[in-house]
Amino acid sequence: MTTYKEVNDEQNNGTSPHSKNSKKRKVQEDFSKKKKLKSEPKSKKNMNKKEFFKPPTVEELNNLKMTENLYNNNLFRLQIEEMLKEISIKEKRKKLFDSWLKDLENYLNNLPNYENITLSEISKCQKKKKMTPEDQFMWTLKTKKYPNLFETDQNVKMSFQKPLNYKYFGLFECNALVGPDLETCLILEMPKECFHHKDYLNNRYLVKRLYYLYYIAETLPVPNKKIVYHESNILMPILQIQSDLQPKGTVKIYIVPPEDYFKATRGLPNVNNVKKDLFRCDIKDNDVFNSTPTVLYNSILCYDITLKENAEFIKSSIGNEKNIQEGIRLLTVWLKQRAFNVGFGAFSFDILAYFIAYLFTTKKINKFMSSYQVIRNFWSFLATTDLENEPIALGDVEKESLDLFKQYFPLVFLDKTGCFNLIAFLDVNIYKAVRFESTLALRGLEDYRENIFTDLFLIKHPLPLQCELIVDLTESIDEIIAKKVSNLTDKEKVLSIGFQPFQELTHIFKLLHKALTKRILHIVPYVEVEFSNIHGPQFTKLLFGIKLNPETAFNFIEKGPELHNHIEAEKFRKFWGFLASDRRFQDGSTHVAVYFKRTTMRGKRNIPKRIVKYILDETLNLKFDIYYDEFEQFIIPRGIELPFKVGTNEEASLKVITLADELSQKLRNGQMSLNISGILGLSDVFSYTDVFPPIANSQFPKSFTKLKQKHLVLDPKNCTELPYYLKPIDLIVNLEHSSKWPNDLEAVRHVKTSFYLEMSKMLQDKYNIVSNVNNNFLQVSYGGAIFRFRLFVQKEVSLMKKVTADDGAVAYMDNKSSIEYEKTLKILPKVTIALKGLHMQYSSYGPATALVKRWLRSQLIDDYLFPDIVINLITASFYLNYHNHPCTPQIAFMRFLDYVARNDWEVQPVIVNFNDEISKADLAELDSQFQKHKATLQPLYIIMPYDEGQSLFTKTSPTKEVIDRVQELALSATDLNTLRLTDTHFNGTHAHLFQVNLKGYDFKIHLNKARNVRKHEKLDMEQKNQFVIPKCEEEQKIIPVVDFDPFALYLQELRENFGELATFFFDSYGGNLIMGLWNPVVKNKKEFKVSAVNGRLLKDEKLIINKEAIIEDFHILGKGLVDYIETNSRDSEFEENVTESAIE
Amino acid sequence: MTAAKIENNFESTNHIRFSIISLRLTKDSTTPRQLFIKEHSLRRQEANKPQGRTLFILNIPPYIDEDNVKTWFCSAGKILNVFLENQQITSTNGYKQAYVVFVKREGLLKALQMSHVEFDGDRSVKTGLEKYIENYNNSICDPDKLSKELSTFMLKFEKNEKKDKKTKDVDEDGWTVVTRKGHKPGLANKESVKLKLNEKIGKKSKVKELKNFYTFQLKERKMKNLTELRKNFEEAKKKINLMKSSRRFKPY
Repeated sequence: MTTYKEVNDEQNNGTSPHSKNSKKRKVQEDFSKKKKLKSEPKSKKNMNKKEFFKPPTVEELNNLKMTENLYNNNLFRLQIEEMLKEISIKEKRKKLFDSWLKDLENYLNNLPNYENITLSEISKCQKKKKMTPEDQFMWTLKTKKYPNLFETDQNVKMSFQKPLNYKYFGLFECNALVGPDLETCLILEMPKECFHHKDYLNNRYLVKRLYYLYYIAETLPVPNKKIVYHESNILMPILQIQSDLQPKGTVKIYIVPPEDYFKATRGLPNVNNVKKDLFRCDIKDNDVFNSTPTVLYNSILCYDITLKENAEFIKSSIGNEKNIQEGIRLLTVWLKQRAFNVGFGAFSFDILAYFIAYLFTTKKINKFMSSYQVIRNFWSFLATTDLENEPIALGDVEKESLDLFKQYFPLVFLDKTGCFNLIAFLDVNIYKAVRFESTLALRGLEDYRENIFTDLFLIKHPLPLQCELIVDLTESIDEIIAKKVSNLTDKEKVLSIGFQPFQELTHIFKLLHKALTKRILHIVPYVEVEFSNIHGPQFTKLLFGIKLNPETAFNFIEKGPELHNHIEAEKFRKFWGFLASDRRFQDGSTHVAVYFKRTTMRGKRNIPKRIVKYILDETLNLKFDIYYDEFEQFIIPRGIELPFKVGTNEEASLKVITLADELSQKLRNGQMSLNISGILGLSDVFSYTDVFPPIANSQFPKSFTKLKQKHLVLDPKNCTELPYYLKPIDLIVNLEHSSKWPNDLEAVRHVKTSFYLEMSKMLQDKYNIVSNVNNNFLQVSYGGAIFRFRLFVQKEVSLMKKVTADDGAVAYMDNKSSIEYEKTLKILPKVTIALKGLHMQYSSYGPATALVKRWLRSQLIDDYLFPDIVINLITASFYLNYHNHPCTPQIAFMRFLDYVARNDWEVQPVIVNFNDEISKADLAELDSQFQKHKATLQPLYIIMPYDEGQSLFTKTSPTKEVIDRVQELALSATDLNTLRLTDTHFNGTHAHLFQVNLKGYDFKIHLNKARNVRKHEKLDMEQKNQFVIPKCEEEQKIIPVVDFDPFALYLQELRENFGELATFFFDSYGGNLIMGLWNPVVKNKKEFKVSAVNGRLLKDEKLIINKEAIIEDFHILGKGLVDYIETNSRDSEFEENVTESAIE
Repeated sequence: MTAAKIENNFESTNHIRFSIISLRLTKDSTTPRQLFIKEHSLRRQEANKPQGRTLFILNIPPYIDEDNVKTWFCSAGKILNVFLENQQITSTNGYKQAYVVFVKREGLLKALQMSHVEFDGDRSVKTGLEKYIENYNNSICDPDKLSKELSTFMLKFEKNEKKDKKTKDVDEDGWTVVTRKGHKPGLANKESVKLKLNEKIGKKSKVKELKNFYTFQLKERKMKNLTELRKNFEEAKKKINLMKSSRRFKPY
């Protein structure tokens, strides 16, 4: 809340007595400024006009035309330019790095020679007194923890000499690297002397390459060296060197065989290169072994053989094209933000470069295209090409060759030589995820929205925000590596020899895919392998996310094969175990099927989770953590024992809505003096966004009340406790048009009341429904819920607005009360209906919004500070603005946090364009209006169809200070949440997010717990406190105590009376504490003035705040409600710890 | 601090003459509270706050009502009336000011000499739960009473309207007032009607214009397109600058 301070400090300066003179001066200054401003814009405008109307230069014309043709629009183009500027690498740094690379080359040229060393010599090496340099070298290899990762069949002989050749490659070489970190890759060609004829066989090459790498790592005189795995690939150790100079640069060293020594055809996927079980994967049948190709092993060979040629090809094709390089940069940012480029099977930047090169050679992009067109074409290529069925190749390759590869690889993209599949290791699942994101990006560009650029490039989309369901398998890594999971055939083992752990994973994913079928779009795995000095590969992280398919994810039934198809049916039964059963369907057919019996919405949403659990737990017996719906527990009404089953707030909402519909029908059918043309809902419950919807129950709490006619009223003599809170449900009644309304405001209101009475009487006579009436509404007790009906009369609004001008002309002007009236009675119902529609379309909307409210309130930001309707609209905005709709409340909630934490409402209004009712042109106009006037507008601006771009609902709150606070809270909450899901060392639970930090407030009002009428809504509620509602069939014909919440009334009174001096915070869902901060205005002394004496004390001729008296006032106002009040001892100066994260 | 002393202080600092009364809300309260009082004097006279007999009080806590104020000052003399009001209607500071009208001037003079008021707030101030319960119970209306109230109001209203109508139709001089109804109704004297008329006139003149007749018109139109493009560009630029200032372009 730092800004809070500043803002108010400014205010203080303005009002404090010391600055009276300065104030005057300021006013004068302002005045003169205004004058200047007045004259300035004129001249500026003229200038602008001149500028606008001057004849265009050719260059300018081209530029403007280009923007129109080559980019989406001006803003997008400028945004691209700005970001490219931000991520560009400075020439100076490049030079420094280059000179460091020169040094490195020097070192490489001067490496020592160690000839003819065999493997056994290294392992047998002993410490001697006199050691030759060779001995010394062997000794270090043996002792310094360079593990031999690969077994081989021979005692291979190696000779270590300086590399034959070296060559740089990678994005840095192609001038397409994204700053600020520098990174380049270096190919070292091993000398020919190292090799024998058939070294590609049986790991011999791998061993030689490994030791050569060790040799480089040991002898290179550079401080920061580390052996890592290329893309977490366990057969591809590489050396990573970091330059010690500032800025840091990284070089990755790849070792390859000498050019043309091995033939690339040795790596074709139909060749066997491993004849013995060197990877200890327990292969029994030797014939199978010798006849089955070692596909993945071959790919490793081929990678090294073809690396140089491919790198050259990339450089030659895109090395000189500036726009294409820019496109690559943008796309690397895009990939990086989505974390697709890390872990095993990633969509690496190399693959990206190959794809771009492919598009370039096939003329899908050319050098005249802008970077925008490059990325767009890339996306559209990915979105429209299904590589799973259409293999592609960089060079001219015969069809047979493609077919050959297709046979062994799920995805095929052949390189220039036609022997290496560039995406051999790209995980199909990740490919699918990238494809999905590409389609999203493309659609985003098509129906361009303001924040699409931010969404594409500037915001991180970590796994937990992409996928609804996250599974953490890190705990069972050992088990998976120990090959206990799947039963692979010998053939399968040979095909993927060298990659058993990944084979196991693939098996798990296959099972999951089989079980989840169409419920999901894709699974995104995230596997991280690190190189350890002792064991070699070390799996550090194993996570995967499952992206649900919103249309089919929650189907109740999984239909299997027909019963008479015995073999298939048996297979299905075996797969599903006890979950499977035989069922007859409506069309008369009988199938084996899995039926998930669910009664609540939450249960329905849990079906995918149940399936994942079934596979991982019951089928595979793995240990795992699953993150899917933990937060939903916070929106379950737990404090009241309910007469019906609930999952979240949805069931109770639905019940209320059905009741409301019934009652409305009855009202409309009744004969009355004017027909009812429509009844619309106002309350949040109609859009399923109420955290604790009223529970429709035939029994009302009677304790602590008296009966007065048909009403329960409170008993002032017996109020040690109070009946629990009953929320009324607000509805609006529209009447058919009539010209008979009186021409007088008072009279209209009276007629309205008489209409309420008429309705009440009708309900009583015709349906025996109890109701009561006052001047403001008709209150009906129906089905165990309380409904409040109010009439909306257009005439009333016009009478409120009516103004008569001097010349007798009648005008209709908006005024405060008329705006308020229209806002609640005319606009709000429209919004509520639209939101209800949204919930119908995306069933997670309601509970997600409820979750957001619950979170915000738990952080003591209540409806007064951040209104419910504003939350409803903000969550609606990202269901409407993005194509990637969240399927579950949890992910929507997490995205909300992320959105709030990173959004800049000062620059960007929130756009809630229901059903695209605002046209694009109007939207642009509204936006430019906003940009023009934003200094004077409310800090949070919502553009939506029903209030003519006035953002009526955010007129008074939230304030800038509250927004800052909420943003800070959201930021720490997202950080905590990401940590929870991705960091294995994090100990804490999801409940931490909802805990409140009570530090830093100035006073704490402890309320009397016994008088808390909403204690059942409290977060850390003990189960004991439950209100039990007895079941009773017969409906009570009384009106209970409705909408009586003394804490809320007290808080309101506090705000009305002391809002100028202090700010109050309260958890409206069952809170027992009101926290308060003195407003900064309180701190200064004031000169005696009639308008300034209130709540103050005269001391030394200055007015100072009378805190003691005000605290006493709090006591008096809250008689019977306040237990005691704590004040912060540091009375004069308080630190604002509040800004620290609420979760500590 | 005695009242007299404070008064002197004020004089020396050239302030309006207020004196201070300390207020104790409950018997055992130790909280210091100050009421600022002076004789009510305004240039504009108000009949119900007669000069010379009215006491002006500032800094009264929000939950105090007229009766409470009355009890505070009844010892000074007989009180005719008490007015309690907020300083500003929209302010969120609940402290109030009051005018106490005494029957005689002596009362006022005596009140000005008071140094403190004490009263039993615990019993005579209704706040908190008690007040909320009472308010709730009172908010429930009896339907019969309500309908009776309504019918009396409507009767009165209809009577008034009839009277109005009669006076409207024929004015004092015997002229008949022209209304919208009738044989040839005039236009309603409304702002919206005026606007509509103006619009109509504008439309008519537009129809008469030929748009693609002269070359300069074509030229102008092209130029207009161009300026539109330029304007968009400028606007986008402005927005970018804004985003730049909040460092929105660093992806990570």
